[in-house]
Amino acid sequence: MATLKIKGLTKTYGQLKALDDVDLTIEEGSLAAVLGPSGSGKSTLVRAIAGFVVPDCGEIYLGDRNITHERPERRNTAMVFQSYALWPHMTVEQNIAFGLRLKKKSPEEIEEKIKWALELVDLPGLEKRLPTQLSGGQQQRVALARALVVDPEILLLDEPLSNLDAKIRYRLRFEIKKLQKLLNITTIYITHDQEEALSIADSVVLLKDGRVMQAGSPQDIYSRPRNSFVAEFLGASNVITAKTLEDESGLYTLLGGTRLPVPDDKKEGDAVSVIFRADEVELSTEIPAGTEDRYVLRGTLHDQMYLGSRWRYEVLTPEGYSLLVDYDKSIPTHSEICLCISRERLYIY
Amino acid sequence: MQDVTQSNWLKRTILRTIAITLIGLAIVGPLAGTLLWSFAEKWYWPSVLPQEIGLKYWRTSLSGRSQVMDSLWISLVIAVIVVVIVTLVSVPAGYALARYNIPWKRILLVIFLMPQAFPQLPVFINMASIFYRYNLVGTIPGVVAVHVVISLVYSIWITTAAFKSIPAVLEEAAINLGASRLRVFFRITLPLAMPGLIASSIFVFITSLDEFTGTFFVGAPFIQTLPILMYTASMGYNMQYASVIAILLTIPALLFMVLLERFLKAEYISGLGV
Amino acid sequence: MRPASSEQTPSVLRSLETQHSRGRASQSYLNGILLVLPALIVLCVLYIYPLVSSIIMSFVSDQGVGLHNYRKAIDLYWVDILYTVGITLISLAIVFVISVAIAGYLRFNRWPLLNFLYRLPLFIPFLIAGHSMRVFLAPHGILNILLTRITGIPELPGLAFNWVGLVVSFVWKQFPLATLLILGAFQSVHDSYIEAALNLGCSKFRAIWQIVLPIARPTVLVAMVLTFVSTIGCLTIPLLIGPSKPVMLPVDMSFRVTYFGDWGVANALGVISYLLVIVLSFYYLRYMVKKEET
Repeated sequence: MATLKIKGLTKTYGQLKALDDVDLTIEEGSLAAVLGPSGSGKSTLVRAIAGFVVPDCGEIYLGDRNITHERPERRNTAMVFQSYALWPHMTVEQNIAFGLRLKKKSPEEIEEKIKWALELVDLPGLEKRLPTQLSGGQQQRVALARALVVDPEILLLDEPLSNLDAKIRYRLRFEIKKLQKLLNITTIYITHDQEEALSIADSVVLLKDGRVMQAGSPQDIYSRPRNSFVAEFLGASNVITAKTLEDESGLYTLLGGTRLPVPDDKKEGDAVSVIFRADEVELSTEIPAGTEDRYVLRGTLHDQMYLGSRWRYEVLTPEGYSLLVDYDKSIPTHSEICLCISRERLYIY
Repeated sequence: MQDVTQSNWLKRTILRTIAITLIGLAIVGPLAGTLLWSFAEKWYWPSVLPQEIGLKYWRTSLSGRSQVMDSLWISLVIAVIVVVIVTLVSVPAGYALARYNIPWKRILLVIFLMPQAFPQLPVFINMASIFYRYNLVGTIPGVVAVHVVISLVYSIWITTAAFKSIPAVLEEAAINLGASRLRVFFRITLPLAMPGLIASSIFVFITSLDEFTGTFFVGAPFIQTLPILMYTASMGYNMQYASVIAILLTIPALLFMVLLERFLKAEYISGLGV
Repeated sequence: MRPASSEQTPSVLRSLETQHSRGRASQSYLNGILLVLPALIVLCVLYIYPLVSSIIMSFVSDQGVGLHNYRKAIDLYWVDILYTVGITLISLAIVFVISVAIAGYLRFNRWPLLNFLYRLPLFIPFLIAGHSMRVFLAPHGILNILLTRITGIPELPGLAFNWVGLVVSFVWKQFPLATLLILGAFQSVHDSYIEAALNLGCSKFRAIWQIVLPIARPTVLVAMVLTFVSTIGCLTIPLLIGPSKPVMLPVDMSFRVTYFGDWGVANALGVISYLLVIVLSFYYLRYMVKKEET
């Protein structure tokens, strides 16, 4: 187990910056989710840590060890691949034993470790199967066992669940979390699924175009997104673009006739984005009282979608915005309604 | 997956230079020797290079009345006839194997693969004895027949691969618009398969040009193709003539290699080189 | 004739329909057969017929039908049979090592020069390979000219006309095809399999041996079969560069026919050479047919 420190890591492919001056610290024994859309550089990051990508500059420390130019086979990282990469010519047992054989463990110890690992991932009795005889979820568990059995200093999970059905994905997500805490192993978990990242991680790192957009605890990153990309990527689907205005009391913008503060770095006339989530809006059929920390918008229900536990409505406002709002009751289309958003749920950039 | 760091770049370059020199010597050495011999007018042991270098043997070989030119003509005529026959036979077969559901396909495939899977020499010997009965030994048709059977197998596999690489939907789209089967074949399929078919023809041409063993039993000594002449020269220690012919025979194959590298797909290669 | 009831019409229509589609299917069967037929006839007349004839005639001698030819062939040539198998196996082993080494190196490293160079002998016909090796490996050949200069020893034995020269020539001609096929198979082994091994602390050398090679095994075997069959059946290289005794089986067959007119023993040797490759050939045929059918 060790702390992972990354300093100024940069990797370019021709014109494309896959990693752009990435700084990152992952505490010993914690699980960090690296989140980002495809092409954001998250795979490059984890492959650089494993040693399959040679960075242009920057450094990677595992504990006190500078592993930036270490060969992949000497790094003592363990990676679980998106495709699992279980060797098709070896049985489950042989797959798991491979890393142990390389470490020249005794046959008794290898046998014991295999047993331990298979129990850990809840797959006892499948030792003699070939990977092709296993379900996707089982293959995933074997891949995990193969990685964990060598006592790596850091566990790297590259989109480990993206090839699985939603149902198995949910279950395995929590099992991985449990294992990680049980073994207290420093872990990097790559995913493009924000929900997965938030539910599993001790800390979340959000990447875009090879740059760290924001890093912090899941709660922090969800409730205090640092910029509009983070807010939108974490599910804030309503984006209103407005203009910065100025009067004697300072800079502001208008939303539904209500005055909103804008960030200090804006100038008069600059575009400003007002962002909020569909499920963080209160919808009511009566006009509520507007207060200092609540903002009210009027609108008409235009369309609706049934989500199971609630309804999602498309609301058109007189200003011409089209907004998505969740509500747990069915309301007829074309109803006039009011939207009420509290100040801290409104992200303004 | 390259892990070149500054420090071991130099080491790697040195190792690679040594390796490529040795590999190069091993691969190119024998060919270079043949090339040198073709220009050697005098070359006595133990000189590294021939004492006298000149075009004498090239000139006598390529002059109009020489035995080499006679053999070259015979070889070319045979190769052209073989290409025509093989193409006419293998294009329909390749198309059918790629597109049609043929009964007993497995047996067909085995028959088409067998010449590659077993030694061919006993077949040539028996072909010679069968041809003897029909007075085909020592005739051009006899030699053509041997070359056809040797190259047909490669040609069928290359053309099948060529037709298979064309998505059937392209044909279906044309049929859907009302084109007849024949029209679709000549307007859609054939033009798309052309690179593969040309590769196949060139390959057949070269196979025929370079063929020795079958010709040796069925054609020699009456049909002196270029390889037969070369063998006679080499066995008689006429190193210069043998080397000149060897180079004449190698050039088309090497040109084909470059062509293959540049224009043709890797899947055609797997049928080659046996 | 029964009167057609209203109920019967649909079933009549249905049977007409199936007849029609069956007609179309058999039409396409027929077309397929017609297109393949010329190639099939050529191969049957010019390949299968002599092949079958070689097997039948191996049992016929001036003493009647029986195993006389085989008895004579084994009496006269048992040393050559062993020699042929030995030379072929040694060549095969060396070809295997060289082609796996080159393919393994090129799997991890881009090296266009090597990639070009190794293919060169692939396009050199056997006959010319044999002749070139004769020039290169002869006692006063080019290799010895260079070696005597470098080592300072005035006379060195030539490698031509003995078993070493034979093996060298076979390897030189045969390794490119094996390398080409094996490299193709190595490249189709997905990166993640190799990375997973390196990640667990495996060296590249070991990853080739324990991961890539086993996954690519079917193609590697095909490459080895093709090498084995074409080595054991090659006439030109042993003729041009082999020793005069013992010789490879194809040379025996050729001499039996050209000097003695003895087709019976030649055919017996031919059948023996079929038997030497038969297991490998069946593997090859099964693999290729399966590949072609999927």
